[in-house]
Amino acid sequence: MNTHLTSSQLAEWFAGERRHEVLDHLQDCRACQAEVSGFENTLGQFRRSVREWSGAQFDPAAAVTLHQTARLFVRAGWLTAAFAVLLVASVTWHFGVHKSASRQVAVTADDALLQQVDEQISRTVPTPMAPLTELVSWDGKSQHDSAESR
Amino acid sequence: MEQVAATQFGAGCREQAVSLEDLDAVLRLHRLRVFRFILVSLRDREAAETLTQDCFLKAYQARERFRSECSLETWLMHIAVNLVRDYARNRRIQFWRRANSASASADSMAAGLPDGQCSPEMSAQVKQQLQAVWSAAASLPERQRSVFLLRFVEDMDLLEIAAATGMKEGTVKVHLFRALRTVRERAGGVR
Repeated sequence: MNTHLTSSQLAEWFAGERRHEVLDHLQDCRACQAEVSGFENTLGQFRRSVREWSGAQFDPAAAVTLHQTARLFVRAGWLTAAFAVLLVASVTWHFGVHKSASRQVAVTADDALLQQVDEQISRTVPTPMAPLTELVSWDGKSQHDSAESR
Repeated sequence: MEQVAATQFGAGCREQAVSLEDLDAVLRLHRLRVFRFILVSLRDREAAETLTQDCFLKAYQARERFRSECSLETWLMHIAVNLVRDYARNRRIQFWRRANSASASADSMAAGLPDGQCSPEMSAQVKQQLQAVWSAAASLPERQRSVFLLRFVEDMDLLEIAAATGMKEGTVKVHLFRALRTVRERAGGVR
């Protein structure tokens, strides 16, 4: 065979694609066999060394912290929900009390107004003329004189 | 960012093994994998720890929206991919500073390789290639890097990667091919 595998064919092979023509070529071509096995070996070494290197830096104790954090998130969620319920309840209660208090004030004001109106209506002489009724009687004498004569 | 919530996932997803309600089991099963993906993507341990926590918290908070249309693992990786993307966007300058200084990380990573199986020359060559792959992966654009890491570190197939990244399968292929080409070029494997 005159030609060797192209870079694209080799990349496909290393990526895991198995084409018949590449497989046939590899069975016959020692140079390509060496190329493939050499690079696959390098990739295998790379995989092992990365795993050893990262395994040495791995701290299993950190998982405990993570677990606690996750539990904290769950508790925080419940706490937030409880707080929200309390907040809604207190706001509702506050507005309820405020409303009843303002209603009470309104009723009192209404009563006072009605009472005032009743007083005004029940008077026979208008308020501006009230002093006159104290000074003048219908028989021509003042109330003061009549009181003295008694 | 709220785009991490459960979204549409394609076919090829598996049944979930554990419920998200059982956070202990979820953490035990998936935390290392999520942490590893974030750590390798960002090369920052503190950020990886923080984003791993964020990932599981977001998953836990959004558990009602998880409809079992894909595996829990893929769903968690989807959240992790979005977190990494947002983090990189928000801290682009710091991220690229770290990415440029990735050779130090590559040294420390390659130093941990078992070298008793081959000769010193062979071992040195393997370490050199690993450093090249490590640096190349760090310099990839964000999507290519995510796809590359999900495929070659997390062993996910193309459909799972599509679900985890929110891309179409064809788009995943394109990103993966480009990433592979770049990595092979850096590792000295391209004709």
